[in-house]
Amino acid sequence: MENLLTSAEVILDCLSDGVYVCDRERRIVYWSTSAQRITGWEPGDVVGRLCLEDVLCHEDKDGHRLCGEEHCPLHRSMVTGVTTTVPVIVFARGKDGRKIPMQVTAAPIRNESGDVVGGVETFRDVEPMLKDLERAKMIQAQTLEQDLPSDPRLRFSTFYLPHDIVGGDYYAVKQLDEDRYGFLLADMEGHGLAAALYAMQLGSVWNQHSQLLTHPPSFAAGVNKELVRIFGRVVTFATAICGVIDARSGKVSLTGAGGPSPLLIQANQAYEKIECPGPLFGVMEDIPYKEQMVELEPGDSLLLFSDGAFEIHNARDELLGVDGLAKILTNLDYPQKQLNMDELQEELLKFSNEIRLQDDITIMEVRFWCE
Amino acid sequence: MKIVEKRENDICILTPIGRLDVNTSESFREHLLQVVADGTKNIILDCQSLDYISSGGLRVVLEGAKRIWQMEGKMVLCSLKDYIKEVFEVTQFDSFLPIAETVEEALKEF
Repeated sequence: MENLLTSAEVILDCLSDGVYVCDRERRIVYWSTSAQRITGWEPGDVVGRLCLEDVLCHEDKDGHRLCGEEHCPLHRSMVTGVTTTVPVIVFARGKDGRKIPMQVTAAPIRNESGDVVGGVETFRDVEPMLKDLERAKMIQAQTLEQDLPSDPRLRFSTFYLPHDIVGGDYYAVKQLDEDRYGFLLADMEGHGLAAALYAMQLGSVWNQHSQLLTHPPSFAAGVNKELVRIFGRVVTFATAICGVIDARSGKVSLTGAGGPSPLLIQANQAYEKIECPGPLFGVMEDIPYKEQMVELEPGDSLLLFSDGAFEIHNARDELLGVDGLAKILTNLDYPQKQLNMDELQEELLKFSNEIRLQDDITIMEVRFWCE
Repeated sequence: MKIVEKRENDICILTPIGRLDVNTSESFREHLLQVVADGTKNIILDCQSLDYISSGGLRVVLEGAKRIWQMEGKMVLCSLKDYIKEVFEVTQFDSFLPIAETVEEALKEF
């Protein structure tokens, strides 16, 4: 009886989480009863096979295959010798072909000398949670979906690519009077659910303060004060760029709150970074914000973006940076050609040597045509 | 992430090495908050070997600083490489935390 209660295998088989163990070559050597219950695969189907074979077929939310060298959570854990600290959500294929969303953690197994000899992965069926997240995604999309101004003198376009199912970026545009339009692009620190909830709050702060955008530093001060109150004792912040454009003249007034320097790209592809430094939103009350003026010529484009668009490292550990992003955009014939987010994402991925980008990406384009 | 820790009287000098990003922020956070929890009120964050800082890294620095402020202590940053300097300029981190050119200059802040 006592032996039964302390038998590791009995305990593992009673867990609700699925558990499997691989050796260093990633050959599956143990497959728990709960793993069978969740996936339908029986031990006889999988034990002895490599976990990267067509058994589990781990994919990320966008359908990218993860069972390669560097993206497999278990392989990564064995190579780095580190237990995953944040569970990742992957989709695995069940025996009946169904894609099962799973929360996965992985840990290396060491021998007495401390060498990694294998790894253990635990997984939990998160289908019910995922349904909730999908609803959250829909709600977030509704918050961000707004009619962009229709004005023959200028064009606003927005592009949004969340890293997780929901993201921490927020953007909005509002017509302030006959000729002026206020805009904001903000990025909550972090990503995932917590950042998404704060991003929703940014939406209500925007609604309360957007009329102040006729003078962006006043708007920024109001938003900052409100976010300091909302964040309370939680240490977090948002970075942002906000501004107002006058459609008669192309004059833009910008205020930065730690957001990346926007790019002014001319019709001939010459570009410049518009530096507008400013204190992060939500850290300290009563900090003044400054105003940076810039004048758009007809055909010029002003691009605002979250840091996910350029804080990307390649295989040599080099950072893409804002200049690198500008070069990619001009190679894509921007601004002659309309910005295509799929093409841009492909180029960013090529640079990064990753199968998926590591942060939310939002881009807001303000294209000025004149009357 | 490797973090070198040195003491100069009652000042702790922390030198994180490499990148402070999504993969390393948590271990750096634990180290920094442990130093504060052990009663250190004065910290210099020597960034001479810091190659990159993500927004998550910035949050960790802020969290450490806020804990120290609660204890009426002080955190000073120093020896920023160009890219890190740019990040701190854009976010105007110097409105929250003093930034010095060198460790010697940072020591004078206390």
